[in-house]
Amino acid sequence: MREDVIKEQNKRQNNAPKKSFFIKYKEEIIAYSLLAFPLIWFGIFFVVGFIRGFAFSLTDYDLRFSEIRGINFIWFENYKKLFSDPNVWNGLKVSFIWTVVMLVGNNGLGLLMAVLINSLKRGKNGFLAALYWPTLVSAAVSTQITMYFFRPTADGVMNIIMNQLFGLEPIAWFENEKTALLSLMIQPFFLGFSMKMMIYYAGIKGIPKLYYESASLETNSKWQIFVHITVPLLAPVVFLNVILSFIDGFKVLGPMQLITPDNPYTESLVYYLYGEAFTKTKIGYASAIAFFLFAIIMVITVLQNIVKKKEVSYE
Amino acid sequence: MNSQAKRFNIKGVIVVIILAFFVVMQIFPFWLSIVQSLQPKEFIVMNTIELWPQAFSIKNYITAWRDANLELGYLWSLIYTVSFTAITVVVCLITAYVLEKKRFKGRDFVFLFFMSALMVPGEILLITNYLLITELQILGTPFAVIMPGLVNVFGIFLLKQFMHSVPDSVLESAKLDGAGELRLIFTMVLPLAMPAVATYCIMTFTAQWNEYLWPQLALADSSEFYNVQLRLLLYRPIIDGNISHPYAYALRMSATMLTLIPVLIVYFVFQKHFTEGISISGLK
Repeated sequence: MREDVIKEQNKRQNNAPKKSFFIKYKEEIIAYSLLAFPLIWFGIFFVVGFIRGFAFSLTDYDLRFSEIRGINFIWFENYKKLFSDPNVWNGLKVSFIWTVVMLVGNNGLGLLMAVLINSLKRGKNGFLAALYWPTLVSAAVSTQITMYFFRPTADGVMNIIMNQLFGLEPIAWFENEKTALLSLMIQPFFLGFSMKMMIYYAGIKGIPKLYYESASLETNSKWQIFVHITVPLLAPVVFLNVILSFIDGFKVLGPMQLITPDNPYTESLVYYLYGEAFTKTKIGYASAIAFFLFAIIMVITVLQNIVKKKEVSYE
Repeated sequence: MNSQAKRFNIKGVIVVIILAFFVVMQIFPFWLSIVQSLQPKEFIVMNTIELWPQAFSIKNYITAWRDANLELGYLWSLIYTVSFTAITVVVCLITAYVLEKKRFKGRDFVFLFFMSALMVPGEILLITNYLLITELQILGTPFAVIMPGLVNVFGIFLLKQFMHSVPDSVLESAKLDGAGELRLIFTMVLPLAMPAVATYCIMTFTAQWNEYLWPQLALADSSEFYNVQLRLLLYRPIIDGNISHPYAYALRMSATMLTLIPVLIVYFVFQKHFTEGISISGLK
């Protein structure tokens, strides 16, 4: 890219008649030659990918048969099929349960931890550090740990705990309809709030000191200050993060794919999509499911923007 | 006054107890895993939860390291994370600089163009990127692992946000000295934006280290290029013909700890940078 710039400069010097053009658009030429790589790369992997994905969703593209019968446009057949596919509805149900549990758990615990840490006089950074590290636990690591905890045999950690506390018989956690999704959710529920905690903590810190100072002239009650200053000023942050949790929750794939493959009780929408695309090679149909997911996320984003605008006008 | 101070102390103690409870609860599963990973084979007892290993044995770690082929996993993980981080940080730095400090036609449009990525779920791109690397005939090669995602919108946003606070006058004076744009970026902008660059590097490094989904698709059957995470997922030791033998879990936990520990070390060394990302980007 450096060479491009130098070439550009040389051109400018050599081409006397066109000099005015290069002087006039000097900034643009420099800017776009520096942006050439990111724009092209982003265009290929993102924009073209997005457009192709939508185009595929209108076809019967199947990697296994595309050489024999080609790729044919079937327009909205995939989308029609999707709405009457029980697996899609099952996937929506699983993703929805997961989303609600994680949304409530991660935001609730994250907010609680942020408020509690902020109320401390000393040791704030220590507790933040001690509670934030689980964000670094990879999907593969948490898979191993969940599998270790929820082993179906009598010597599995969860089975021993259940036996000691409630005298329960060993449970095959992942095979049982009632416990399969539950056993996948326990670890992310208790370990997944760290990020939200940090965001809410930054949010509380971001509230100008001025508000607290003027409020402390009015009242001595910390609770009053919390309810009347912290809560309303933090509300937009909480709202945005609840929306983001909703979007993230709907995209859940890791635990289902890694811990309980091919288990209908834990087949989330994205895991179903993944199986259709990469196991069954039905690219067309899987793309349609992906755009169905995109539509859900867009609806939520649009609703969020409407609420946000109302909030502003309300102020 | 005295009684009020006392009551406040009690409140403070309760807060500390609640927080400590959650700290312990987060560590608990990892603690049990570490204990299990250290148990020698002959000491493994059924039907009890041991809170302290009966004997410390590093042997399990050596066995797991060898059997799971973690050496090769570490090598490839390092290659992927280092090369990916190095390229993406340069690309994002240049992009962020141009978008923040240059005045040119179409700047707002370019910025919106990049930001549109935040709306689209990566799952759509998973399919098309997979097809793209198949068509480019790089499926199953290390290139396929790092190619998509090099232009990271979050990184651009983070660095751009940070550069906002870098005064233009500093850059203007350097420009008067006749420095070219790229030289300006690497000699002036980079040192000034160092806190944000370091934060982005560390976040990218750990995220890339922990990635399993895209490498799994991109590498397909070429298991010689698998990273640490894929090796850990593949590792299913069989002891006495039994895959759920307690000792098999001891080995699995050893391999698990061997993949987790490097990230935790990075975390405790560069802890400040992990939290800074949130405050710089104003992600709230």
